[in-house]
Amino acid sequence: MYKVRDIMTSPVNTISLGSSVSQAAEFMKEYNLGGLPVVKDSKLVGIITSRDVRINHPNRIVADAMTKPVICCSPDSTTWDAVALMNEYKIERLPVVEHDKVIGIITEVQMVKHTSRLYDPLTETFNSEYIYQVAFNLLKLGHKISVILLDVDDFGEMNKKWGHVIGDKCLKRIASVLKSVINSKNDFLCRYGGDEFVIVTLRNSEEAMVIAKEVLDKISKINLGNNLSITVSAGISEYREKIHEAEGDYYEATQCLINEASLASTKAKRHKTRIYFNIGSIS
Amino acid sequence: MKNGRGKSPTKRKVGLHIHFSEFDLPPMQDVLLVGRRAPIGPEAVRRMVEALAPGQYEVILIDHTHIEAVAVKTTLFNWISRDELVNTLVEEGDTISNENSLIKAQLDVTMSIFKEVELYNV
Repeated sequence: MYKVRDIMTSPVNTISLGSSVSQAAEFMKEYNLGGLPVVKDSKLVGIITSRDVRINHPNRIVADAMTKPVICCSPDSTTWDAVALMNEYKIERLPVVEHDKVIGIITEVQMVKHTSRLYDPLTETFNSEYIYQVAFNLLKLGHKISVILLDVDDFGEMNKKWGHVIGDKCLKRIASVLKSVINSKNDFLCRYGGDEFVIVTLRNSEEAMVIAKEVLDKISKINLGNNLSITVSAGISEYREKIHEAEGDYYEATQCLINEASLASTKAKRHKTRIYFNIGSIS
Repeated sequence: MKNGRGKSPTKRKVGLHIHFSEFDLPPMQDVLLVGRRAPIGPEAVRRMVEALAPGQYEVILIDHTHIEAVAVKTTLFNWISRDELVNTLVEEGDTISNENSLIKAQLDVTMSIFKEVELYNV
């Protein structure tokens, strides 16, 4: 799971309170920067952005032109937390602070690049990295979650028999069905890998079962042409206990939940039961 | 006298005028109105007065469309209340200033006293 520390720019260029706006502008131009954290005795006190430079007289000192208070994050924040902060405050630069000192900065461009790596352009969904971060955050906030893992039956055979174009079309149609069924407030979808999709949901296992059934029914009605239909097996796992342990355990719990759901989908496939539960298997 | 090309040589003189006067310390009078986009902002003004006249001025941030701050000589508060003085300065400054303004002001505060005293018959 990516943390801000993994993607931030470090060390970071800073400027002092007593510098002039024109000096800041020169510095930003020279190093091709869109903003500079302002420090006093190594502590972050503000940020001067290209907008501040534009609207303030060049003779002004940075102390009179900077934006404050400054929104910042910890190096151990997840990249999703950082994205959420940047979106909430509509900011393009987020200084990274540890023990009151600026140790790095992340920019909107960096975040776009980073999040695009977590995105699957074929199905227009996020990938597994996203779902780990979502599950991690939900567990950390004390929510109880269920995981539905959907696995296309005989996807390898389909690719071999009908070609990868049809295989891709199949995945797109499935993703489309999944998006139409889930509720973005409670359910979080990703293409986990290959022909597997994962939904992390705030619903309990019974409600997750309802969702899974609806998805499977809708998928069974997909026609890829030449009377080629799709069937999918689903595995569900559920975690009802609140985790009070160290943060590392949230990640481990997420791994366990997804793994249990994966094993459940394999059992469903083997037993031809469409959906298989693995409830309470995580403890 | 002509040079080799048949032209008169050019004579150049430099005139030097010197005008001495006392430096205002600090280079502002009783009040300074600071516009939101003035060449110097409140923090720079605060640093200036603290360096040149420590403890003699107060820089007050103002919630106003184009005036960002007012720096006032603190002795004026002995004559007129802080709020009254600041409100008056902002009200009057509003009409003559804009965001880019940096306006100094001199205040003549006078106090008129009329007092009746009893005459004693000796």
